[in-house]
Amino acid sequence: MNALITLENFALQPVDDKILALNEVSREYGLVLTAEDAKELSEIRERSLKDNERLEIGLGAMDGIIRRFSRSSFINQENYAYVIAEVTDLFYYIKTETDDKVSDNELLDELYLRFEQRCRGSVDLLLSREGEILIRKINAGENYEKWFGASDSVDTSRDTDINARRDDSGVVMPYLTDEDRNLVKELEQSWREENEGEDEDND
Amino acid sequence: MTELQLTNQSAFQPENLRRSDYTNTLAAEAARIGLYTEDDILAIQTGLMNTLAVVIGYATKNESTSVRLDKANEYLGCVLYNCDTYLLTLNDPFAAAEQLKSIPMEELYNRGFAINREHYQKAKRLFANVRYTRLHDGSKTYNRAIDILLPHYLGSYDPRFNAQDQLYMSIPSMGVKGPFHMDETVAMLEKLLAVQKGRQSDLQI
Repeated sequence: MNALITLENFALQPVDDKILALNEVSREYGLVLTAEDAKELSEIRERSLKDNERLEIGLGAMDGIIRRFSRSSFINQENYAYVIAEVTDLFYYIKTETDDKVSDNELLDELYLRFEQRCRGSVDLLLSREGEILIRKINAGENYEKWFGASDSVDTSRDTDINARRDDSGVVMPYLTDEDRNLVKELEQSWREENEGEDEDND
Repeated sequence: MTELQLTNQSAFQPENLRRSDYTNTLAAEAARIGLYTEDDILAIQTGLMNTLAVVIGYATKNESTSVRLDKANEYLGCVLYNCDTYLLTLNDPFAAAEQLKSIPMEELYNRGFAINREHYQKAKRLFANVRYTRLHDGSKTYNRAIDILLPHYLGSYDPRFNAQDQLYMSIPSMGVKGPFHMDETVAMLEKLLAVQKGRQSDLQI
């Protein structure tokens, strides 16, 4: 006899309406999701839950993601839906990889902080570097510094303009002068001319 | 009992109702004989989903809205087992089907949980007695049951989250053979106590 009551009955509940309702929150920051965006986010959420072997009833984590990340200074109307989708996927991945050792709110706060401060709005960095650091940190617990402290440290010494222009001896190099820029242009032009000549020979 | 109830009761095929999966098979059988409509089934599924969300909230202390699928399956099994426990006490599939339709699922879960919690507390009291009056010349399987299997089972059991868990043990010399659900564990412990009866202990429980 087929079971009437199984997890499969619960698994795929669309949450488009709940996502759209959060426009009331994000509108304050000039960010709005369309019905199409909401549908796509709902599908991405379902896929991510399936990929990470999780069950969630209701909107859950995406509510917290939208409420936090809509405040970000690195998010605009063009990349809003994309960032929400990627962070959602990363969130469920980390929850599964860390065996639910961390609460939703703690993880969301940490992801937002890292996105703003360490990644400066780079989703790629958040997904690749920060995601893995977080997983190691959560799984290692109090042993984190001992096991991973050195290798996971991020060089933030060049995150200001002055530091970015400081050379190995500590001297702050000036910005490119007009003379330097002209020299660079000449070099680029001559390189192009040399390579065009080679391409013609190959043809 | 009205003629309709008699007719409906006889329409329930006993072989289609499984005690180990009572809620599920009862709903399926009620749908088959036309006692339930599609809306009734949908309402039961929605009620179960909401109850599962409540249980997940308890289990995660409301710190997580999602759980791993294997955990979700375990919690769903617990919700259904607690519902089964209560519905089976009615001893009447027609009455059980009526209550499954009319009473909120969370209420059914709570009623079943209360029954299983009582079994659990009784089992713990009985086990304390069993330990203090244990046989000193018991078999290897007997000692293993008293020292390892029963403490582990009773220590990890929680009628909120894993009411359906079973104790896997056997003591051939005493005619004890599992697996046992919690109500069956109570009966088994009472049997052990009856065998150990007459042993003296200086500790009063």
